[in-house]
Amino acid sequence: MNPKSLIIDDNPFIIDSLSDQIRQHHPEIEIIGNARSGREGLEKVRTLKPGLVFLDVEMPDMTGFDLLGQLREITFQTIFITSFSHYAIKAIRFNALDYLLKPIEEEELRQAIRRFYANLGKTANQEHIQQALDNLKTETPQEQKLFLQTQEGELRLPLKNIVSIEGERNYSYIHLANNTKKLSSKTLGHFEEILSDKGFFRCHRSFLVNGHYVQGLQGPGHFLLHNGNLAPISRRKKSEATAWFREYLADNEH
Amino acid sequence: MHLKLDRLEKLCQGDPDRKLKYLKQLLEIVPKGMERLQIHLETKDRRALRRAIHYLAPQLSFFGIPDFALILQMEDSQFDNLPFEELKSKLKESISRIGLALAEAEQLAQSLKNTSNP
Repeated sequence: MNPKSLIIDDNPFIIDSLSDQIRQHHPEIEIIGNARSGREGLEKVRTLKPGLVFLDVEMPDMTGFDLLGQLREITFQTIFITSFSHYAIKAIRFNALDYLLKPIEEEELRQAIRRFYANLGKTANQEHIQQALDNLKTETPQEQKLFLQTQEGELRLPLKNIVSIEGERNYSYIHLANNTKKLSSKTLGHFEEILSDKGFFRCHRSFLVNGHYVQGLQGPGHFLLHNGNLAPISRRKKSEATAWFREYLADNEH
Repeated sequence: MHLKLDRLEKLCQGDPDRKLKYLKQLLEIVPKGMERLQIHLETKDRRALRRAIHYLAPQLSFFGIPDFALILQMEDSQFDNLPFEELKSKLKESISRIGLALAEAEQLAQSLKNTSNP
């Protein structure tokens, strides 16, 4: 049976151009409908029961996440579509969700469709969305959970369990509060991007620390962590690191 | 030339009716968005400005006008902290370039209409 898709976006240009791209390059995917608002999208998801939804992140009446949060059960895969928005992209990447940037590039669409097929019959996409919805409801960033693909499989790590992240070329070691570490194939830059607004600070070219575990400054060039380990601070980041730590303490006094 | 049509050509695969559809859509959506943008500039409503830019940027990028996409690439805090007069002058420049692009799109749409209905 052909996969059935639904496109939800408030901009008719995006609906038309994405529909044309799908018809041209992925004719096996049937487009069963489109919606120009979150509310209309919600109705169509319920009545048309698509297998794949292309979902705009920011619509005037509700966000894509609001829409998903109103469903009792998510039975389809979702590919988010967004214009360049730091806020939306951070949220999407933090939760390991799939997305396309508007206007949609043919090659990007091809790769997203390939991932859709690779995930057919699996629940990974829906689980990531459920986790994203839970994270969005969680007011304290340290309580949010990060999806992490490791050699041992996929982990969901509460941020409060991560002490620091150490970059090593194209991969990173996640140092945990229980003194173990996990290896991730993501770069330190990736973690910096998704964690810098959640209490983490890049204090060195190969170190990202979680403010929750920083006890103080040790001499001019290190943060002292709760487990007695030291995280280096690069010379050029010294004043920024001091200011960040002061601000972190002030914000988390209570 | 203010428009770049390679993405349009690729998407429409030489079909003049489809090209016309996308040009008409550009001529319908963008001027309305520009009007809203002018209002938000007058009322100095940054949030509404960002929303309007966000709405228009993909379609403009598709037609080779990158101005709004470049503004969106600013960090949110950078956008919020840009002095309003600077933001206004940036947007005014963009609006004027987009106006020229729309005039070009209008001509192109007209010539496609003439070709399809001789």
